[in-house]
Amino acid sequence: MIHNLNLVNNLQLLFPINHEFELEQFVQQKPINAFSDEVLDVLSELGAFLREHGRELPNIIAVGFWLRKQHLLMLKSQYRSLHGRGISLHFAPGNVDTLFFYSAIISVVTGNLTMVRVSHQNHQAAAPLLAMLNEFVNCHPLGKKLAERLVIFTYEKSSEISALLSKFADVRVIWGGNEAVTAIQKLPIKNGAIDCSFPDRYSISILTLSDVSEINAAATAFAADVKPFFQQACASPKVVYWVNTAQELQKVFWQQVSALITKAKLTLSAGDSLRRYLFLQQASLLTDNNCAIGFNDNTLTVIEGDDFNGELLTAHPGLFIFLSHNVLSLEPINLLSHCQTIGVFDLSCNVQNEIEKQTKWPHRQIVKLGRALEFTPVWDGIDLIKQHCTEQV
Amino acid sequence: MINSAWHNLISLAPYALSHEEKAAIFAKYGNELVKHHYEHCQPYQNILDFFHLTEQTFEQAPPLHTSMFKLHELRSIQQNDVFKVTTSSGTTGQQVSKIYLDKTNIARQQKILSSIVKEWLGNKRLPMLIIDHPNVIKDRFSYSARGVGIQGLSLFGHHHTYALNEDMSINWPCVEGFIEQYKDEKIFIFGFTFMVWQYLLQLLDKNQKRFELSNALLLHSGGWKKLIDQAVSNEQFKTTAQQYLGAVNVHNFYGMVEQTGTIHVECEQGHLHCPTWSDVHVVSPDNLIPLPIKKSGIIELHSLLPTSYPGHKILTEDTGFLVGIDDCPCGRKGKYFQVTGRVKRAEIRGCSDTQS
Repeated sequence: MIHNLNLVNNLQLLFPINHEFELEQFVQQKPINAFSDEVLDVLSELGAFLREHGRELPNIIAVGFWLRKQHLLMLKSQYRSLHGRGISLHFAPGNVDTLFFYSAIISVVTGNLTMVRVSHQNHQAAAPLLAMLNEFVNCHPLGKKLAERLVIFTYEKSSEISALLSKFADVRVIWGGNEAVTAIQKLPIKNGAIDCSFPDRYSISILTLSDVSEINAAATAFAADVKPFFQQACASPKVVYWVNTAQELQKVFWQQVSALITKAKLTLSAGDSLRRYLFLQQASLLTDNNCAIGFNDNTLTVIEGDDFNGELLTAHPGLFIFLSHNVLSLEPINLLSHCQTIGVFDLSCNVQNEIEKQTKWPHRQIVKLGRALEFTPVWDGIDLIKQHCTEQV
Repeated sequence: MINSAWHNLISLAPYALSHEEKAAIFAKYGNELVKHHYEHCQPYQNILDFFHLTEQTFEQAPPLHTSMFKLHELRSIQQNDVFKVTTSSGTTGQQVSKIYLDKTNIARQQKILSSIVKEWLGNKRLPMLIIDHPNVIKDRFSYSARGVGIQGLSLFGHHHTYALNEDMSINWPCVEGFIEQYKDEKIFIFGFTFMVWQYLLQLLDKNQKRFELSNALLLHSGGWKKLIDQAVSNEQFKTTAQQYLGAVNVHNFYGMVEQTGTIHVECEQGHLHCPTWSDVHVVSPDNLIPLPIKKSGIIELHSLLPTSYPGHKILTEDTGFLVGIDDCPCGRKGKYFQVTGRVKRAEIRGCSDTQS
């Protein structure tokens, strides 16, 4: 018997809209096999639909590409026969335009019944993709199939509702800041259920440039990693390690990155600017190591230092401030335990090889520079596909 | 020695110097002040070094964000010379600014405050009605901004009477007794803007009471945010005060605990005036470059008073614009300006926002 079901009345349904959501009915459905033909058909059709209709929105096109049948089949080939666990409940940020949906796709493709709560404040960023998902349900013959297995909603901050929903979860996926993640983890889930938590992380880039001709490619890739969300995404680099790279090349690199950010018209609000000044004034007080401004123009600021500690990274507000550190090899690089993504630019591949050979950085996302924000099913060392499945019975 | 410079500065009149005369004073004493803090406050030295200042001049020194006083211990005196720590008013759970003061700095703040206030109140102490409750200044060592304001301005009054009880209700016998006794004299009323509005004027309205003061001066200060939320303008505040209190001149003033002493009092024309020892810049949020007259931006406050802590150049979170320099119709020299609000908080982007 479900108690307090009337709490569900406080849910604001975002997908599928104009449908009645019956929690009790929804959770009684059964999971199916992962990567079933039926689900792959629905998702690849949705992918085609997003590629066709998401013209103006590159991030939505990117979701469309992710859902190509070929890509889904490639993922399928990496796993043995698996079966969905049951109910998967996601807590996702509403101010990141597509993350909530990547999180959801994993659980849908693995045959789970999927409930996603996007945060209530600032969930406008998610609106364009939600609108397209709803349109898909209304106008595509397979749309209904998606709506049966996926529901997306929001509600005002309420641990009561989160607690109620958590009771049904076989898998719970929690994205958010440390406090938000801890608060949700405290809410009980079913026996044997699994939590996949993605709390605060920071990311770095490792670059090596030997010639001025390499700068353009490096700067373009780097800008792609920092422009979204004004460098505030966990996967956007805050620290840049230069391996054996001349200062002159670095300077030109920063000038080019700055120009690319300016070109993208990423204008800071007055509040952003004040946060930026505050951090710059705090920086030298937050570390015992030497640090000082290296490159600085009206768009981006580079802080050069010997090394950077957790306190400095925690206070770091994004907003195009970069902590820059010169090294001769990977040896002196000390990553903190909450380091997530390592974006690498190295045309010679020496650094890339060295990274792959060494073992001191397990569970890090090591990617080519420019692809830090691309979603992959293994995130922070957690294989979301495996976590969503049991061995097929 | 920085403190000796004050023999010359302290006796200046608050609103008599032209912009050029002031600029000369700031160049001279301001530069000394920056060097003083650089030498005596290690964190301040770290900050200036971080920005690679080519010269330690007042002009080049970065204005410290007000939150720096919340997040770091910034003082240019030894721990055992700290005589008092004043804090900004903050709601529970918020971090508050901590301002470390020695006896010299406190004395100077009081002296300058006195010079400024006398311009408005006259030289004689007046019977004083304080729109607050007496417990707000209980703790001698640590004062909140409200306590600092009351403590500072009490020097200009006598027969200090607190109008409120601790539960923020009006202490009627006390207030009525005070008014009965002094109704024919000039009286001085002081309170924080919101307190005066909410706990005096609104309650008089609710109880359908009015006082008929014959000659009063109401000084009030503090965040307008709560009143803006209730859509109360400065004009409306003035009219309402006159409606319920009688013949009262109402003057708002703008100041902050980080620069206690140099308050910016609103003149008869409705303009906030910089006194001799302080300066205001309205700067662009993009690059902190000063904006021309009438252009809105962020308010940066300069003061020559702070010697025990590096609060001489402060970047506020308030927005406003300069109205003019040296030519206010009220006759006072120096810059005059208006405060229009507060900078909107920075948006949180990225994925740390799932609980909201």
